Parts: sequence; C-alpha cells; structure tokens
Amino acid sequence: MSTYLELFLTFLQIGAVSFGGGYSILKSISHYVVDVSKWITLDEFNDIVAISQSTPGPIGINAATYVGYKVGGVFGSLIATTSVVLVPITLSLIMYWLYRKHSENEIVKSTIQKLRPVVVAMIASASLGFLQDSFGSVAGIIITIVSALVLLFTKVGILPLMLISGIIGIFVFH
Amino acid sequence: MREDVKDLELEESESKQPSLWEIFSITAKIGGVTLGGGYAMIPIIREEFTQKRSFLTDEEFTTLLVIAQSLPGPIAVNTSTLVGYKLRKLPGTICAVLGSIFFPTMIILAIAMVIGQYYEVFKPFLSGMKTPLFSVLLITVLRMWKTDVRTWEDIIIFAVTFSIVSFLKFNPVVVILLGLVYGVIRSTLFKSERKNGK
Repeated sequence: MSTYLELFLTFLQIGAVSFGGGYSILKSISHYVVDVSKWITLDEFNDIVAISQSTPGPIGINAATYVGYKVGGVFGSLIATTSVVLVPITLSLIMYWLYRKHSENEIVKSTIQKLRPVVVAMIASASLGFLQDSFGSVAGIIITIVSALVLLFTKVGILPLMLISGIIGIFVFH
Repeated sequence: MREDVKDLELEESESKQPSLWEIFSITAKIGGVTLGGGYAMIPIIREEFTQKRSFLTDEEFTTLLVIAQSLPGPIAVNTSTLVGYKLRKLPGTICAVLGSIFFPTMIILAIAMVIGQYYEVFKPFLSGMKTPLFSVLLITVLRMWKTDVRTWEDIIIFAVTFSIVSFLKFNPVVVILLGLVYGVIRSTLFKSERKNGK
C-alpha cells in the first residue's frame, strides 16, 4: 500500500473517531501514528502535543500536518490534513441537512432549546482550562482583569485584545 | 426531495450574504489566533459573524453550535463547516474550513521544516495571547446567557452540565447525547404543556 494512501486512510479514521475534540483525542491519535503505524516516536508525539499547546489550531489538525510532513513531505501533510477533516465536515453537513428538514418539528425545536444551556455550560467549563494562563502570575491577573473590563465597557474586539496581550507577553513572560 | 432543497436555498438566500473571500479571510484570521483548543474560537466566531457583521443571529449561532458539538471532529472545524454552509452553501463550507486551518497548518509546517528549534522564541508572545482567554470565555457565557438560558430548568441544565464536564471530565459528545435524550423524553412527555404554553 502506498504511503500516501496509508496516510489518507489513517487520518480519515482519526477524524472519524475524534469525538469531543481537544485533548480527549490524543490517545487515539498516538495509538494510530505511534503504536500502529510507527511513523513517529512517542517522544516526537509529545513534542507535537507541547507545540500544539502554544500554537494556534486544533491538536488533531496540527498532529496530522506534522506527521504527514514527516512521512510524505509537503504533499503528505496536505493529504493527512485534508483527510482528518473529511469525515467531520461530511457528518456536520448531513446533520445540518437533517436538522433543516425537521426544524419545524416541535420535538426537534424544543430539544434544541434544551441543548442551548448545555452548550453554554461547556464554554463556561472550557474557561477553567485557562485558569493557569490567566491567574498564574501577577501580570496574568492584571491582564485578565483589564481585558474583562475592556470587553465589557469598550468596543475593542477579541482579536486586537489578544494581539496586544501577546505583545505585553513578550516583555513579561520571557 | 429536490424541491425540499430548493426551498431551503430560497429561504436562506434572504439573509445577508458575505463573499467567499470574506468567509475565508475572517475564518483565517480567527484560526490564526485560536490558542488552547477549539472552545477559545467560539467567542471570536460569534463576535465576527453575529455582532460585527449581522450574518447570523445569536440564536442561529447557538443552534449551529449544538449541531457542531454533537459530532466527531474538532469543534472549530465543525463550526466553520456549518457557518460556511449556512452563509454560502458548499463553497462557503470549503472556504470556511480552509480558512480556519490555514494558519495552524502553515505554522506547524514551518516548525516541522525549519524553525523547530527557534519556536521557543515565540512562546512569551503566545502565552501572552492566551492570557485574556479566561475573561473572553466568561464574558461570552454572560452574553449567551441572555438568549440561551431563560428558565429555572435551563439554569439547572447549565449547572448539571458544567459540573459533569468540569469535574467528572465527561466527553462533550456524551453530554450532548444525554441532553438529546433528556430533551426528546421531556418534549414527548410534556406535549400538552407545550401546546398550552404557545
């Protein structure tokens, strides 16, 4: 089996089983790329995880890009990255289509209504993941409080706020 | 079935439509700064697509989130897929997904190819960028609260979900499925109540 095909099939599977996203999928990724395919070592995998924690992007995508490049160069990384998102995209579209088809159904309507607080709670819970970044240092606490005030009382957007904090970070977090 | 699809398209083309380039550039911008997992992306997607440009209403956005949460795959990719599709059908989806993974992919490629050993240099900048995220997420919760948490029952659902996700580390998809079962049972059992309520 050609390497590219193997990459494609492996990351197709990883994309399909990565329920819940985030770090819950690390185990399944390491199972496929370290234990089964032996494309990278566990050390290398841990490096990718560490890098992913401080660079943007979903860990699944980052791992796919990195492993793809290691195994098959730029073309390999393209294949791995595309295949890891293929199943999630397809399922999302099917689900959306089903939803649209039945969106006037009373049961569907009220069930979605009941799921709204669930989603809000998950976002609230995700904020706990940043406690260390936000309250781990005096500078962090100051930035956290100031950004809360800025977001509540000014029209400054989230992106400029993050970029400014990044620049401050250069001076205080080195 | 074909007529169904046509109806959908007619209905959706009435809302304000961004260009494909706009979809790509907005999602690329968002994807480029999404540190620390997909949830951090949600407030920014919400800000860019509902508050700054009224492409989606708050309610539509939460509905898309509910769907995105219930499926495998990175939440950021699923949300981009749905937002893109809602705005510009399949081309919209493709542009939104390409946009959201553009910078992450380029950065990882750059690290894998050359700058692996230099990436430590960027760490202070990146951890600085992560610092406001606690406030960002919390304020998003406050803002979503107004439209999405309306009754005592909603507050209880919120509290239960928050506890089992934060402290018992339930997988989000399992939680959505539990919520789904609860929602279906409840709306089937209390059909009459709902009719009176309407």
